[in-house]
Amino acid sequence: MAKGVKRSFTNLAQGANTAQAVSLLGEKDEEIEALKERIRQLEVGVAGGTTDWVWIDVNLIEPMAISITDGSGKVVEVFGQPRKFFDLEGMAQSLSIEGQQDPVVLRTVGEGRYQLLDGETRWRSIKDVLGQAKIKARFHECTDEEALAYTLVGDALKNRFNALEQGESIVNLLRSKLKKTEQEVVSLLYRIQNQLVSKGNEKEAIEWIYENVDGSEIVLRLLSSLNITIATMVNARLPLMSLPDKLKESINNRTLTPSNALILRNAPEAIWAKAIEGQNGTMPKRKMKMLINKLALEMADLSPTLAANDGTTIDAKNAEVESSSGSGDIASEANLQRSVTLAGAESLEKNTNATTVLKELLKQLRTLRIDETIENDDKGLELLERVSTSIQALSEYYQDKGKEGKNKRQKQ
Amino acid sequence: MTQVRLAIMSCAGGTGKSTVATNLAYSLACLGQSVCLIDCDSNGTAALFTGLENPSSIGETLVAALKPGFKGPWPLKPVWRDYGIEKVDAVLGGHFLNEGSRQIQKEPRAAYLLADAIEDAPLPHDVVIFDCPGTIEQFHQMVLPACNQILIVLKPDTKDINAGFGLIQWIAEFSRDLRLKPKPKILGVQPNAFDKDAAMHRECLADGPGIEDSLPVVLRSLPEPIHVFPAIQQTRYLTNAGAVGLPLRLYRSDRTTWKIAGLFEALAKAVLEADHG
Ligand SMILES: Nc1ncnc2c1ncn2[C@@H]1O[C@H](COP(=O)(O)OP(=O)(O)O)[C@@H](O)[C@H]1O
Ligand SMILES: [Mg+2]
Repeated sequence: MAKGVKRSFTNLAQGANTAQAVSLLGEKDEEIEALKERIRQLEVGVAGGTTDWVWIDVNLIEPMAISITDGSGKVVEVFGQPRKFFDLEGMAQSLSIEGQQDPVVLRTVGEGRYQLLDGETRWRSIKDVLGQAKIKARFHECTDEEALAYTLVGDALKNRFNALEQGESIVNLLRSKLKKTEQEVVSLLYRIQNQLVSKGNEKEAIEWIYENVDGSEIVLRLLSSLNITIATMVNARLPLMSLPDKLKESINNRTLTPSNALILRNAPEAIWAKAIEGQNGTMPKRKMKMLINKLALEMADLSPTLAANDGTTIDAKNAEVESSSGSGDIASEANLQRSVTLAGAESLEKNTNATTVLKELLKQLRTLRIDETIENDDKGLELLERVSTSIQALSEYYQDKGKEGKNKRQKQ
Repeated sequence: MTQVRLAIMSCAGGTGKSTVATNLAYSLACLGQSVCLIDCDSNGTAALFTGLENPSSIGETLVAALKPGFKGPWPLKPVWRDYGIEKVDAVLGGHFLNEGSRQIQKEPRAAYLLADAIEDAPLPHDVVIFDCPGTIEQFHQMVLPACNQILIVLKPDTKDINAGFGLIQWIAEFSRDLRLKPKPKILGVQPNAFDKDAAMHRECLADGPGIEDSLPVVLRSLPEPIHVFPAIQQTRYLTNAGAVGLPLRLYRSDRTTWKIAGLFEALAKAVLEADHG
């Protein structure tokens, strides 16, 4: 951010924006949980002895694919199954123990050719992992749009989707219904949401929008049938779609939660890999914030400040500062004192060189692990907070000192 | 109807929270509502602005209600009865809150004490207004689980607005940390002490086609969009009215105060029409 330029409100609101989006995502998860429970109860209610299934040759089946044609009938795009993650090994294991409990759902797409509406994981495990020839299947004949909706609703209700896939598949479904490009669908969603906000979410406003915004009725009815509000769609789904590809990939292979992705987007790209590796990406957001803090600190190159300020000494025992440059700026002296106390400077000798304090802190930081080793361990988190606050305070102190030195030199 | 419990918050002192709280209480009373104004600030402005004597003991303040197991009665003080206002009461704050704060710190349910008090000893009023302090401290935190609506009061300048965004972030994060269900809704942002001659004020509040970076535009684009109410302008009548313990309309009722009184009345209606979960 350039000095002397007023920061935009959009920029100032970033923290508020992320906090609200994260909180909405959490609520959505709870809603999905409730829906899932309802579906489970329904399934228990109707399941009793479904016998309307048949054996189908696995090689006659293909994954879902829906082609979008333009006015002249030319295929412009093909949508596949919106979901991108399939646990084939896990499914194969459960199939070989319990056998195939639920039939997959198919529709007929040509002479002896069938397309999967539901059950891609089962189909792939049976065909590719277990190498069996036949699969239990049920039929549900439907149009392309219904097919996409079927998969979408089915998966959404069974919570196989994450928020990103849900957003993407709804946009795809709208594209196929409205015959629009992705960009057009996205701006339509924004337009409807803006109108709703400025006109109030009242009945008349919605009718006005139906009449004046093309396609709005289809959008709003579809969203309501999926139990997702336009506000959630625009504010907690579309932002995920505009994430950098790297983060999206990690969300899709379940190594990064959508809320953590939103937090990580604002952190330097150089730390992304480390923030996602292992179980890191799925840690609660509080830990993710700390991890980002830690990684950013570890990465920062403090060596120039270390070298430039080697003369500063600290009476660690009494947390007093005796800087070589005289009394100095009171605020930064206070910063330094605080950091020494925070860092538990008892372990340091009297009149320690400030550089040694900083090095000691960095060492403490490196040995700290935020992943499962300190799961639910508030002491570990506290330590991290302490170390990172102190390092921040110390390096701020150094920066101030650096500036001071420079000013002095310039005056001379 | 569910009781409206409105918290008036800001992230800075002197933005006009107590001014809005007292004038709003008056406007609500004029609409036939009974109102309880709870002063959660240790500066005790609410007593001043309602013309009440300062409390003489801790038992006359909000602290009395924050004892675990509190079953009532609330230390209610009648407000503006001499002026024909029948249904406004106040629970006082002031410096006793500092002492209370030290006791409360040790309570395991510290953040929920106010919500507990309201649940266990319900106030009979239609509307409860919490006049919050200007920083996020213990009493401020306690209001979040106790309220169902929040009004943010700020001056339309960059500093206040920046602090306001910080407050909005805190509300989202703290509501989640405390697992509030339902969480309180932000009724809107009330700009106050607007100076129409200040370019900065006008820029902050600009809205309409072509405007991309102003308070109303940015608040509207948040995941949970926030409404901005029409600004209350800077006027010495409000300062003077507060100083003698009266709402603007009782202090002076003529054409000069008509416009601002109208804003408070519209705000009061918005409070009553909002959905309180
Ligand atoms: N619109 C206004 N015009 C003029 N003075 C105002 C206005 N709003 C508030 N004031 C004055 O500013 C001071 C601070 O207001 P107050 O309501 O006590 O703020 P807070 O409760 O946020 O600290 C008071 O003296 C009050 O009378
Ligand atoms: Mg006040």
